[in-house]
Amino acid sequence: MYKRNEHGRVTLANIKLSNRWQSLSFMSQPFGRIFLLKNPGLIYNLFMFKHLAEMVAAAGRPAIFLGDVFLVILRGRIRWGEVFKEVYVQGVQSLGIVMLASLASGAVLAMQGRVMMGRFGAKEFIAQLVALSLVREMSPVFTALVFSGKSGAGIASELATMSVNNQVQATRTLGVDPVEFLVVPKMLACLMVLPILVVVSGLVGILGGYMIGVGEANIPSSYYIATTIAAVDYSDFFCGFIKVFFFAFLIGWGCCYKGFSASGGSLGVGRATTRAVALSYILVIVSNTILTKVILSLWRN
Amino acid sequence: MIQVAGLTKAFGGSKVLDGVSFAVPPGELVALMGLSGTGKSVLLLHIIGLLTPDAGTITVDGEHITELSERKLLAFRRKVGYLFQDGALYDFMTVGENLAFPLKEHTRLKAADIRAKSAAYLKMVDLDGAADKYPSELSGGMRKRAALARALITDVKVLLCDEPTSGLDPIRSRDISLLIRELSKKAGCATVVATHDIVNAFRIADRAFVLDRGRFAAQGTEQEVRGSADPFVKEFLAG
Ligand SMILES: Nc1ncnc2c1ncn2[C@@H]1O[C@H](COP(=O)(O)OP(=O)(O)OP(=O)(O)O)[C@@H](O)[C@H]1O
Ligand SMILES: [Mg+2]
Repeated sequence: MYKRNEHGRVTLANIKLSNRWQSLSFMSQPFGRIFLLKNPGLIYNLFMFKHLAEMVAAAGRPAIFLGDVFLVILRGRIRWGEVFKEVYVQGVQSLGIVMLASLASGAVLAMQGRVMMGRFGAKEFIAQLVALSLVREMSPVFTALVFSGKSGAGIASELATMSVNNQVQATRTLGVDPVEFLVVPKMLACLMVLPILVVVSGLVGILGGYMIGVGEANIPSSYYIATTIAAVDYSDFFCGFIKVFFFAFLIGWGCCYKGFSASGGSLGVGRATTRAVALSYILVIVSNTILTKVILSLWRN
Repeated sequence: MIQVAGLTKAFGGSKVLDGVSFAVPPGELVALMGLSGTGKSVLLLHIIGLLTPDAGTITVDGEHITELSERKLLAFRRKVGYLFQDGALYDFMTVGENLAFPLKEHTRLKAADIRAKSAAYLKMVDLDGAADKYPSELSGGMRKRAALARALITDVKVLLCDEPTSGLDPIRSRDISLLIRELSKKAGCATVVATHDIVNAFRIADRAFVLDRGRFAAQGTEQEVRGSADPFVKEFLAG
C-alpha cells in the first residue's frame, strides 16, 4: 500500500489513486491518515472532485459541438453538394486499403480454418466460418479501424489545419456557419461511406476465403459458393451492419471534434490528428464490445 | 458606422481592454496601434462579434451586435470585411473560388456574373492571372491582396484589417497599405487597421489610436498623436 523511501517518509509508490477501495483502505491505516492531513491536495484528488470537474468539462465541449451539428441538421441546412464531395474523397481514400485488408483477412481466416476444421475432419465448413466471421464481426470492425486511420485522420488533419490557419474564423467573418459548411458534410459523409465500405469488405473478404478454400483446400467451387450463401442469413448481416452506423457516427464525431478544436500551429495539427485516430480506435473497440453484448442478448438466435 | 463604448474584456483575470470607447464614421480610416499583445486583434474580433465583451456596447451600422443571436450575427457579418494577418484563404479552393465563395453564399448573382465580379476584384488588387492558382502557390503579399479582395467583394460597409503589413518587405507593405486606403475610400467603408507599422499607419490613416494597457494612450490625427505627452506614446513612436 504505502512504503518508506530512503528518507523514511511515506511515499505513494504503490497507490493507484483511481482505485477507490485502495484509497479507502489506505485512509484506515494510521500512516495513511497522517499522510492525508499533511497533503490536503491529495484529499482533493482522492475524492476525485478535480477529476470529476475535468471530466465534466472534457465531456461538455464535445457534447456542445455535437449539439451544434444536430442543430444544423434539424434546421435542414445540409449542403448536399459538399456531402457528396466528401463521400467521394473519403471513399477514394479508404477503398483500396479496405479491400486489401479484407482480402487478406478472408484468406487468413480460410487458412486457419482449414487447419482448425481439418482437426475435426470438417474442412468443408471453411466457407461458413469465413462468411459468418466476416459478416457478423470482422468486416464491420476491421473496416471501421482502417477507415479511422485513413479517412478519420484525413478529416481531423484537414479541419485542424483550417482551425490553426484561421480559416474556421474566416468562415464566420464571411457570414457562414463553419459547422454547417465544414463539419456537417464530413460527418454525414462518414455515415454514408462506412456502410458501403463494410459491404465491399464483406464481399472481398469472402472472395479471399474462396481463393484459399477452393484453390488450396480443394473444396469444389460451386459447393463453396452454395454453402456461403446458405450460411449467411439476414440476421447475421444485420447483426454486423447495425454496428457500422454507430462506428461511423463515433468516428465522425471524434475526428471532426478533435480537428475543429485544434490549436497551436502545425504542431497542433499533428497532435489533433494523432489524438483523433487514437480516440476513434478506442471508441470503435469499446463500443463494439458493448454493442455486441446488447445485440447478442436481444437477438439470441 | 462603428460605435464602441466602455468596451471591457478580460482573459483569465488579466484585463486586455479596459473601458475603450471610440467611433468611426463611414468613409474614415483609422489606425489602431500598439505593442504586440496589447489587444488590437481582440478589439477587432469584438467589432465583428467573434468575441463578446465583459462590459460595454458595440454598435455597427445601427445594430447592437452584443445583443444579436448567433444566427443574426452571421447575417450581420456580411456587412463587415475582415482581413486576417495571413489572409486565411481556403486552401482547398483556388483564388477565384475563394473570391466567389461569399458571393455564392450571400447573393443571387448568376455564375457568369460571379465570375466577372471575382475577376474584376482580382484585377483591382493586381492579381489578374491568379484566379486558377491555389493559395499555396502565391507569395505572402499576393495572398494578402487576394484576401483583401475577398473581404471587400460583398460590398461591405466596414473593413477590419489585422496587421496587413506584417511579414512583408517595406515596398510591399507600403503598396498593400495604399491599396487598403484606396479600396476602402472607394467603397466608403469605415475602416480599422490594426498594426504596429507606424510609418504605414500614419501614411494611410485619417486618425490613429494608440492602445496601451487596455486604454487609448493617445488618439487623433498624426500631429495630435505625435504631440502626445504620454510617456508610452513617446517611447512607442520613437521606436
Ligand atoms: N482567446 C483568448 N484567450 C485567452 N487570451 C487571449 C485570447 N485572445 C487573446 N488573448 C490575450 O489577449 C492579449 C491580447 O492579444 P491580441 O492578439 O489582441 O494582441 P495584439 O495586440 O493583436 O498583438 P499582435 O500585434 O501580436 O497581433 C494577449 O495577451 C493574449 O494572450
Ligand atoms: Mg494581433
